[in-house]
Amino acid sequence: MSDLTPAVTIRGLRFSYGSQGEAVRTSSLIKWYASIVACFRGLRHVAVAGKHSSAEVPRSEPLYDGFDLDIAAGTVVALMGGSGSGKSTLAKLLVKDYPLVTGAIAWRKDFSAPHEVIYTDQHALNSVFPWQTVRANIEWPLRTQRWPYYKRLRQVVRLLKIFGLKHRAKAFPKALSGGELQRLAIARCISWCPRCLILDESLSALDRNTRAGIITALRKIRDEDNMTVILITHYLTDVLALADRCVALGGLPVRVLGDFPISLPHPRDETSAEYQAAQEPLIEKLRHGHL
Amino acid sequence: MRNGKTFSLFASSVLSFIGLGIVWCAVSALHLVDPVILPSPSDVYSAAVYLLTPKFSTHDSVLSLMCVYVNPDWKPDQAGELLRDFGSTLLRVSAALGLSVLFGVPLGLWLGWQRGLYRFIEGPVHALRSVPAAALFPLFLIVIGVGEGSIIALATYNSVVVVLINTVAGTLLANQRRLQQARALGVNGWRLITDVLFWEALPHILSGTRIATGYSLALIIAVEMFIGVSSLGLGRKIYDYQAAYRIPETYAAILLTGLLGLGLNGLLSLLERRLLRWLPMTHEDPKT
Repeated sequence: MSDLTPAVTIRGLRFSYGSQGEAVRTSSLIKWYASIVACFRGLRHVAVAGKHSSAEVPRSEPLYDGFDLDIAAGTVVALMGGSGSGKSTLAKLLVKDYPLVTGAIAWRKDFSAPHEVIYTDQHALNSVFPWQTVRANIEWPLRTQRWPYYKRLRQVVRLLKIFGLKHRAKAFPKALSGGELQRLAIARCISWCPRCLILDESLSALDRNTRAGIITALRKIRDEDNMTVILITHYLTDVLALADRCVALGGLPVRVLGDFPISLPHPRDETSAEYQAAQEPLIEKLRHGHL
Repeated sequence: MRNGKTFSLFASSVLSFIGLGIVWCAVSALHLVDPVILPSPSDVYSAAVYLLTPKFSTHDSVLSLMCVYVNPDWKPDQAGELLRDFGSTLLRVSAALGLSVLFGVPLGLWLGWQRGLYRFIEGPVHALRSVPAAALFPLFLIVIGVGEGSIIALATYNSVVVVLINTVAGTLLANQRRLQQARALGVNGWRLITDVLFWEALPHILSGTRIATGYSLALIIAVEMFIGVSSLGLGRKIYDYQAAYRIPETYAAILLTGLLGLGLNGLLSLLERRLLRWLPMTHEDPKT
């Protein structure tokens, strides 16, 4: 923790779906025709207008308007909030899924390369190649990063062990159970040691024991590689088991409803008095229907 | 359990073939149909055996199909002559298929990667596909000349468009998150195409190849019937036998053509099963 600059700084974030042109869907044939017409006329803005015709789109109320948040490097931050409270949108904005006109989101310099911030969602197959075996899936990103052979081998064996996939190393993803598949997805996403991992409800579809296993593995990896984790979830148990800080989002435009530090030592004991004390304000928030 | 199921599937398809054969036997034994229209199975069988068994005496052998390419004036015995036609049709179909996969798949992957470009040429490509390929054969004869080249070129033209469109469709249906993650890892260009896009599109590439096989076989058989293009080929022989009123021989050649199609289809499904064994959507038990 030598560098105290936050991993990511969000200042004055403005975002609404309408302004990004998501609502506009013209058929590809019309676009094709428009681009030909544009070619003939030497007009560039006709082709552009098919994609982002902001003038015609009815502007919806902005989802984010002047939103501020800092996330410290090397911490696990949980984002909680009701359905439609912009958690996933924020995560996708953080990995530059949606183009932002303003520079409202600033990653620290060592986080700025695209492979340093990785996003995984609920659908494990979105981050797993079904045509590769478990082992090849974990190894492929390392090959792209040109890791030397022995380093690659060590990392693959380490991850297979931590995530309990050693006996499935030669299986294809289609033969894995849901929990194994999600473990593989997370193992693959952190194989090349990215600086930041964003888990967008990645654990939500799993049962309690599988979740606990993945959380233990994640905590181990986090401590060893000093990774920053942004955890989006609806489950208080996940937050309390893993996070160092919990941010509650809500409202329209979205703002921070509550910011709770959870400074408990790891591994956490659910029966201890400190755990109960840390849980109290979050449950209070839940009771008022904000999360 | 799985083996038992596969066996019963196989057995039921064999049974249905046997049933068809029995119906055919009954129809010809009871003289329900004129033998000029439908000859008896035994006539067709003996014609097929005669046409498919070369005499191993002088220079006649299974390899005699090659001799024609070396010396076109060489005329072998009639016994076993259909083997050479089978061979030349098979060679033509496989040449057309090989060429269309060789050109269609890389081009399709590249177009799927360069989506803007594909959107631009999508219209003309679909227009090309809409013109029946057989209608273009006279043009091919003018441009390439009478002979083997024009047959293979026409069949290749027809199937390359099918393979191309299927490949592009496969890449357009690729999982965008996986692609995005690969791009975030700095994978692009050739590596992205071979490591990600190819596999994403593989199911579609294989089904496109299967469709193209059917198309090119049908087209090649039809084109072989043109007089003067080539004296070899199953299509040519079907036409010749029919013109000479050798009906059992005609049926034997038609059945052989059907078997060729079945065999190619079987080979492709074997290949598919091997290459797509990772695909989660197959009907097999996922735990195997």
